[in-house]
Amino acid sequence: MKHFLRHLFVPHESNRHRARVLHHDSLLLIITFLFAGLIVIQGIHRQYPQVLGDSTSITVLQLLEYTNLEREANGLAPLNLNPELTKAAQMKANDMFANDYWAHVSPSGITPWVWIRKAGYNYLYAGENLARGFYSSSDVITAWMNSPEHRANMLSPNYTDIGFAVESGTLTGTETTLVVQEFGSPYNPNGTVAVNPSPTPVSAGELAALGLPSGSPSANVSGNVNMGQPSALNAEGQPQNPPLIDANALKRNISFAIIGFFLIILAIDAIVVERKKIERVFSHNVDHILFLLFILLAGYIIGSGVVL
Amino acid sequence: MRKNIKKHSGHYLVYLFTFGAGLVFILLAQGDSTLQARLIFLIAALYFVWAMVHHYVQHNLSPRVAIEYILIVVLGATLVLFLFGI
Repeated sequence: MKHFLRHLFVPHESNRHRARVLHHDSLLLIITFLFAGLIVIQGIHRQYPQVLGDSTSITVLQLLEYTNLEREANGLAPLNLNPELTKAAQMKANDMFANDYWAHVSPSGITPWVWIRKAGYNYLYAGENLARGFYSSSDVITAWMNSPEHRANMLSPNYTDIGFAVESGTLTGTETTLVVQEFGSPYNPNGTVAVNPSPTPVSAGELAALGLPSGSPSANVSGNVNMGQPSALNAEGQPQNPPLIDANALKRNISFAIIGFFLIILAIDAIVVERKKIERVFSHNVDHILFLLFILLAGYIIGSGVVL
Repeated sequence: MRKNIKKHSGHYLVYLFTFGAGLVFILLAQGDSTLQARLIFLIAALYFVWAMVHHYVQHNLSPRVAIEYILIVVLGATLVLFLFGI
């Protein structure tokens, strides 16, 4: 057994001083198995999403709780979960998945304010935060708090109400969980507060330069929208029937494990060859290690959540 | 190995710059998975081109060398497919 492992992983006479797993035929075999594994995983994912599906622990109630904790920590009043803003967030999330875009403004020019008005919320102030690719509510809130523009929304004293949508689906080619956070404070024309008649959105950079939609709010929203919670959540705000295995986590873990495996094997190979002064016509270990490190870092970047 | 890196330090600087620039562009493309995937495949292709030029200059370019780089690039590309959940 020991000899077999040495033959597989350590440069030795038995493997012509090159770990067996680094030989061309072994690499080809591993690549073939990887492709086959990918096809099998995708097949199970499509056929049995309850076994191998998309999973997230992000819930509306946690998002609300963490948002209000941040506000209270900064001496601000907590926000109320508003059915209209929740509906607006849901419509925005559905539109983003339907039209495959990741932006505050849709490709056809629909601003967040249109969704808020369509949902029946007549606002004085309004704002929107977006997040995707996160796996927990606390990570989403932390990312928003670490971004100055999103933090400004989270901690704005202008808002009294809030709405969330948490939806999973395929966005710009990637299966992801999208979080939409809509802020607002209602416009009361009979109120005693002196107000700017134009609602002032406090939000991300691209929004600042945008004009606001004119006209009265439209109420012709079709479909059955759960006013209190996004439809994917149950009464406790937890995802319904989470899959046995999270497909994305499985694929990422397999990927990182294989990269780590090859990095270790290549490093062992390089160290042993260097120490034993084994002469090779050519050696590409350093090149390959750097390339796999690049893939690892790129994987880390694309796997981390992003806010907008 | 160390001698080889020192002797061809210019080659390795180009190599590291390419990877570094690639990572920056991937970071800037956050939110656009398609563009990120294209960037990674582009860098993988550039890695192969760099290796071929590097070994050609060293006068040790052979089909065996080319095949090894192709296999590593294909391995990396397959892992990228996993990472993107494709």
